[in-house]
Amino acid sequence: MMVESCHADSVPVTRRLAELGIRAGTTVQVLTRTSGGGAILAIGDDRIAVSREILRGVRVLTEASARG
Amino acid sequence: MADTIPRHSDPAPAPAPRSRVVALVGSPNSGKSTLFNALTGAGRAVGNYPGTTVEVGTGRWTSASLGDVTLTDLPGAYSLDPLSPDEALTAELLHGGSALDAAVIVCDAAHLGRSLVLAAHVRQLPVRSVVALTMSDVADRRGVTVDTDVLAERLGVPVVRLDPRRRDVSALARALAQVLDEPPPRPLAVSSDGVGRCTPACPPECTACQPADVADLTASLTVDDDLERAEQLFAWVTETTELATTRPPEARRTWTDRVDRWVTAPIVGPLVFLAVMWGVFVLTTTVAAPLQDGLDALFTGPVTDAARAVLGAVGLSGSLVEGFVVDGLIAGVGMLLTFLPLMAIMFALLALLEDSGYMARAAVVTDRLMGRLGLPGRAFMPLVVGFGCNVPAISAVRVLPDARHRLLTALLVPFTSCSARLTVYVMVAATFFPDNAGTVVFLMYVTSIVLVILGGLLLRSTLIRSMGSDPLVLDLPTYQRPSVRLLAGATWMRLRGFLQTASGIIVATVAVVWAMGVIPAPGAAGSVGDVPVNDSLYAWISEHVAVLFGPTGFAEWHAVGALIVGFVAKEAVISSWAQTYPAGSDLSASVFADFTAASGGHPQAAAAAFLVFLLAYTPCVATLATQRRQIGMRWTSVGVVMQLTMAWVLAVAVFQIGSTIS
Repeated sequence: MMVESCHADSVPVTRRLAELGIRAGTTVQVLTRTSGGGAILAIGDDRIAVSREILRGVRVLTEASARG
Repeated sequence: MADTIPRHSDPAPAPAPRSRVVALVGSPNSGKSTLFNALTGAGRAVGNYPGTTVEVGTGRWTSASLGDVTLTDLPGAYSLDPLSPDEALTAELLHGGSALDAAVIVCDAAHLGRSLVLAAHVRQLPVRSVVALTMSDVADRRGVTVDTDVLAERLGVPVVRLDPRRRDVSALARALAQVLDEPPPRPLAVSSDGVGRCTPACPPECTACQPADVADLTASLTVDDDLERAEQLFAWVTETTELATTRPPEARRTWTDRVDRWVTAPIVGPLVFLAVMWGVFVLTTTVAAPLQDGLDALFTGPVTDAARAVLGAVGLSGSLVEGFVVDGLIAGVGMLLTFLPLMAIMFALLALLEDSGYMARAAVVTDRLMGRLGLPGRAFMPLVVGFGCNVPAISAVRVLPDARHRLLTALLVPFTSCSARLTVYVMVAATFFPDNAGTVVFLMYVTSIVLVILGGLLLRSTLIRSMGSDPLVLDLPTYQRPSVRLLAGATWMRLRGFLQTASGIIVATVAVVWAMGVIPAPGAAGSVGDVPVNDSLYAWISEHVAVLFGPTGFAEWHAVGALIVGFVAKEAVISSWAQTYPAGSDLSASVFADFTAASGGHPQAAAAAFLVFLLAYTPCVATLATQRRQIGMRWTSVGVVMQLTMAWVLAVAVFQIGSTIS
């Protein structure tokens, strides 16, 4: 899934997500849901665990909307 | 700030003949510390950077092409836009680059994109640098190859591929020696319309090559300009990663992914975590105990006997010198050494959990629960270990990557009820609550957990307000088998550090308590070394301190004296308490009678207050010594004041409420 936008509650956290590869234009996959409601995201070979609050701020383009 | 930082056109001062300082920078899990260990060997040390609670490693790196350089292992950082005090220190030291002769930027070949964010930030500063490309073996296994020539061209500095596990670092030394002989390179330009187009070969008048305004890198990114600059940097990183790497079309699922599916999953994840914590707890208590007892027996038995024999042979038997050597020095050193097996096991376990990659998963699993208590997920481990012994628990706070979290946790660990306190609970509970002794002891553990939570709330609302509660964003390293050599090296280095900081304090305090017992009180009869305990300085001080305990119901010198000894070590409370009563008397009966008298007929309420005080005040001098090493003298003092205050207030509350009810 391609990330459309990603915004956390604070600018520094948004920036950190971007530095770790979770930013507009990158492709992420939800690898597994974790205990506590978060998830492990795969960005290429990187694996980033994020909490449920973070997940809520990530908007992705599904393949259908990307084609359309 | 921008004006104070030299631009790339400024001539750099020629390196002086002093030992040159090279900083090692890299993101967490990039192999930076492994490289640091490989470069510096045994002569390295870790300690808090002056004025901070952030740990920095320093060591001497000697090689044929470089000679001697001082290598500084800066805290791991994902970028120079810091999120924690640790990252802030890295950013600060690199920005004030004048003290640094060069930086080795560690880039992880298996996670190149992420490494390049930091590398680009460092390269935007006027600092001489070399890129060390690590983890090529991991990348190879995934079918990913990194072209070092492309990378060097894009970054404008030499790139050296290395595998620190093979310890061949001569190429890195040669590259660094060459860079040190040259003026600092032109800072990397990724700004304005020069995205990805500028090279070191650009003419000086190329506008795109102007260095980024360094001040903006650390200023808060609220302005559109800054966001735009960040986007340009990410575009440069993406482009560079694509140019420099060849990879299979599909990223494969690895066995790390398969393990993580279970280890971080709901229900199974927490169960795995609890099993690991149980293992850590058992190893630091049950397994360490016989080793500790053995060392203790060695010191109280053969070593003491030998010292007595030697001193007796030179005619000092029964003298003050013998008392000092046996009951002061040997007892103090013995106490210090009994901590060694425990600390060695703890340090090895910490290194094992971190190097294997499990610690990050533990943080994921505990994040939500601990978050509710206002604590980071990784604080779980030190707090669990604290129920065995606070000393290794405080050293375990270094698993927390944020200095504020380490500080908070190190201040809370003393509220976890260590096993040494248990012996006192059992004695007091059996004496005053013979029918409910088990329940009382259980309640002490419940109180301990409540105190950790209350202490956390108190600290976060007063002294450590700046601590954000950032949501979890955690990079998960690939699992790997830890190397025995690295584990042993890390354990020994930490153990040495513990001995260096803790030994003096522990031995000195034990000696002082011994001295108090042999010096007569002011105005009392008797001479030094020949005074009944009731007339000693120890009794005199205890009596005076006891005045403060009036509202707690146990304002009585035997009990307060036991608490004073408990400041040194809880293990010694019962034995020294017993020594204050005439030989042959029953400790329980004497204590009961004294508490009844001191509390005005409410011995149970006074005993409950005593137990709460014993739980909440400073655990032992070894804990304080470890705290000082972790969080510095100032915060250790803050912690002591906080614990004594909380202990006193709670004890007063318990006695006042208890004596009213009963």
